[in-house]
Amino acid sequence: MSLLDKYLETSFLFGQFTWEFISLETLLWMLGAVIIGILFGTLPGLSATIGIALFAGITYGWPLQLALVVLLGVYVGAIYGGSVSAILLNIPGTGSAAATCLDGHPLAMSGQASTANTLARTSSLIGTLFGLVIFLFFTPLMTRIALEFTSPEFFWLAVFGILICGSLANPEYPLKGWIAGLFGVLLALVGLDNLHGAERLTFGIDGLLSGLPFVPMTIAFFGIPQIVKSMQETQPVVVQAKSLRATPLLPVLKRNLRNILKWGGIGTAIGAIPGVGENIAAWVAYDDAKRNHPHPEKFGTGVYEGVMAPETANNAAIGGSIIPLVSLGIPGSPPTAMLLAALMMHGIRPGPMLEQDHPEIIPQLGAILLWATLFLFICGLLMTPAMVALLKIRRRIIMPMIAVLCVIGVFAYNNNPFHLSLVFVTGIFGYLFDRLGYSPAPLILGLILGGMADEMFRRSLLIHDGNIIGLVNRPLSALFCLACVAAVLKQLGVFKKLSSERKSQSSTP
Amino acid sequence: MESNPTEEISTESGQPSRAADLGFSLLLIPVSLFLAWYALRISSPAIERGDATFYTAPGFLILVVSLLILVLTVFQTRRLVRGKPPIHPVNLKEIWAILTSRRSLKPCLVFTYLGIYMWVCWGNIPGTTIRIPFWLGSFLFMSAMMLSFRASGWIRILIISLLFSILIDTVFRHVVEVPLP
Repeated sequence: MSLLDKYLETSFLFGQFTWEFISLETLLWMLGAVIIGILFGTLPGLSATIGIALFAGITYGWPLQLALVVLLGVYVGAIYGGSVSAILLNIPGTGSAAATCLDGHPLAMSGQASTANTLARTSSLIGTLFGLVIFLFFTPLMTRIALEFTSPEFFWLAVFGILICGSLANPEYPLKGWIAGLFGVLLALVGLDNLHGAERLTFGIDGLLSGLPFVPMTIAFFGIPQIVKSMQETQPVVVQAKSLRATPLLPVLKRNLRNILKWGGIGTAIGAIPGVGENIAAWVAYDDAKRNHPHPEKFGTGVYEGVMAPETANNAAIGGSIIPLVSLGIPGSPPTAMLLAALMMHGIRPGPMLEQDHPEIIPQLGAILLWATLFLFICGLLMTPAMVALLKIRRRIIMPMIAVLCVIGVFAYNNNPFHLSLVFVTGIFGYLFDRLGYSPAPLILGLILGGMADEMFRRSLLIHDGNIIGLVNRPLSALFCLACVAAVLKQLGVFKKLSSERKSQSSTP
Repeated sequence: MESNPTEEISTESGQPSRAADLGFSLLLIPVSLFLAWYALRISSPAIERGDATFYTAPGFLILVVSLLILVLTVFQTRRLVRGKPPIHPVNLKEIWAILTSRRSLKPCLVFTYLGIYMWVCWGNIPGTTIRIPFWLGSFLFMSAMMLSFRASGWIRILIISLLFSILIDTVFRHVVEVPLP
C-alpha cells in the first residue's frame, strides 16, 4: 500500500471512529476519565503517569477500546490539570506545568486568574489538536522508516532513549539519571531468559520468574514515594487569586497564531524523542517564547505568552510522544510508557508491525484524542471552582485514599497478591531513590526498554557470530550509535571543553 | 564555611545531602561488583554446555550494565569527594540521631501502615481463617494514617474513611467489576 493510500485509509478510519464514539456510554466514560485526569493533574503530587498506571491495572480486563478511552482521557486531562494549581497556587500539579507557574501565578495575583486559566485551557486545546494532526500525519511515515530497522537499530534506539531520558530527568547530574536508567534495565532482566531459559536475578523467588510487571512497578516508583513524601510535608497556604476577571483573548490568540504553531511544533517534536516527554517540551517552548518576545525582561511578571507557550507545548507533546510508541514500540514519555504497558496487557505489541496487524489502532487513538480534547475544554471551563475547592483539601486526607487506589490498581493488574509485596518492597527502594535525587522516569523507561535492548543486542550478536561490529555495520545503526556517544559526551561537557580549548589556543599569539 | 554533619545527611529542603549521596554511591560499588560476579556465574553453565558464547550468554547484558553502573558510580563518588565544602566524617551517634528524628520516623510510619494494609489484603491472617473484608481493611488503614498525621478532626476522619472505603468497594466491585483483594 502506498503512503497516500495509507493516509486515505487512516483518514477514513479516523472519521469512522470519531463518529462511532458518539454513543452515550463511550462519551460518559470519556467524560469521567477526563474529569479524573484533571483532578489527578490538579493535585500536586499526583501526575499523568500515576493516573495512567492506576487505571492501566483497573482497565486490564476491559475491552481494549474502552480501556484506551479511559487511559487517554486521564492522560489529556492530567496534562491540562497541572496548570490549574500552577496558576492559582504557584504549585505545579504536574511536572509539565512547572513552567506555567512563572507567568501564570503572577497573572492570577494581578487579578487575571480567569484570563490565565482560559489561556491555559485554549492553549492546551490547540496544542493537543496540533499534536493529533502531526500524530496522524507522521505515524504512517515513521512506520515506513521503522520497517527498515533491524535488531541493532532497535538496540541503539533503546539505549538512546534511556540516555536522553536520564540526562533530562537529572539535568544537573546526568550520571544519576543514567544510573537510574541502568537499574531499570537490570529490573527488566529479572525473570527467565527467553533465549536459554536461565533464571536471571530471581534469587530463588518463584514469583519473579515471569519478570517484574510494568504497572505495579510504576506504582511502586512513582506512586508510593509520592504518597510518603506528601504525608511528610506540610501543605503550603492556599493563596487565593484576587479576582476572576476575564480579558478578551481573541486578539491575544490572533497575535500569537504563528507562535502557537511553533510551540506546538516544539512540543510535538520533543514529545517524539523517546523518553523525553511533556516536562521538557514545556520548558523549551517557554524559553523560545521568552527569547523571541519584544520584552523578554517582563517574563516572570505575568506575560500571556509565558502561559501559552508551555501549555501549548506540553499538550502537543501528547500526540508527539505517541508517534514513537506506535511506530517503534518505544514510549515518548513516562505516561506513554504506561500506555505501552496497557497495550501489551491487551495483547497488542506496538511497533512497525502494528499498522499491519491492527490498522485500526492508530485512527482509534486519534479519535479518542480528539474527543478527549473537546471534553477537556468543556470540563476545564466548568470545573475551575471545583478544582480550587479541591486544592484546599489537605493532602494528608487525599494521599491515604490514593494509597487505597494504588493497592486496587496493583491487585487488579492480574489478581496476584505477590505483586502487593513486590510493590511494598520496591516502593521503599523507590522512596530512597527519590530522596537521593535519582529520578524514577529513566528507571521506568529502562524497565520498559531493557527487555527489548537485551533481546535485540543478543540477536544482533547471534546473527553476526558474536562479532561486536555487527552492532554498527549498517549506516542507520552507526548513526544511532554516534548519537548515543554524542549524547554522553555532550552531557559530560566534552564539547564545551574542546571549544574553549580551541578558543584559548586561537587567542594566544 | 563550616558545615553541620547532621545537616549533611538529611536536609530539610528535601534535596539529597552530599554525605547521604556519597554513602549511597559507596554502597553501589560493591552492589555493582556483586552483580558483575553474579552475571558471570549464571553465564558460565550455558557457555560450558556450548549453548551460548560469551556474548550471547544469559548474563552478558547484566555484566555490561553492572560494569557501566560501577564506572558511573566511581565518577559520581569522585565528584562528591572533590566537591566543596569537604564532607565531614559522620559518627554513629549522629547517624542514630538522624534515624530517630521526627523527619525520618514519618516515612517509617507510612511504610508500616502500608505494609500492614498490603499484608491484610494478601489473604487470611496467618494461622487463622479470618479474612478482613477489603472495605474494612481500607477503612482502618485510612483512619489510622489520617489520625496519626492529624489530617483533620477524628470524627471527620472516621466519616471520610468510612464513606470512601464503602464507595470504592461498591464502585470497583459492583459497578466496574474489578477484582478486589
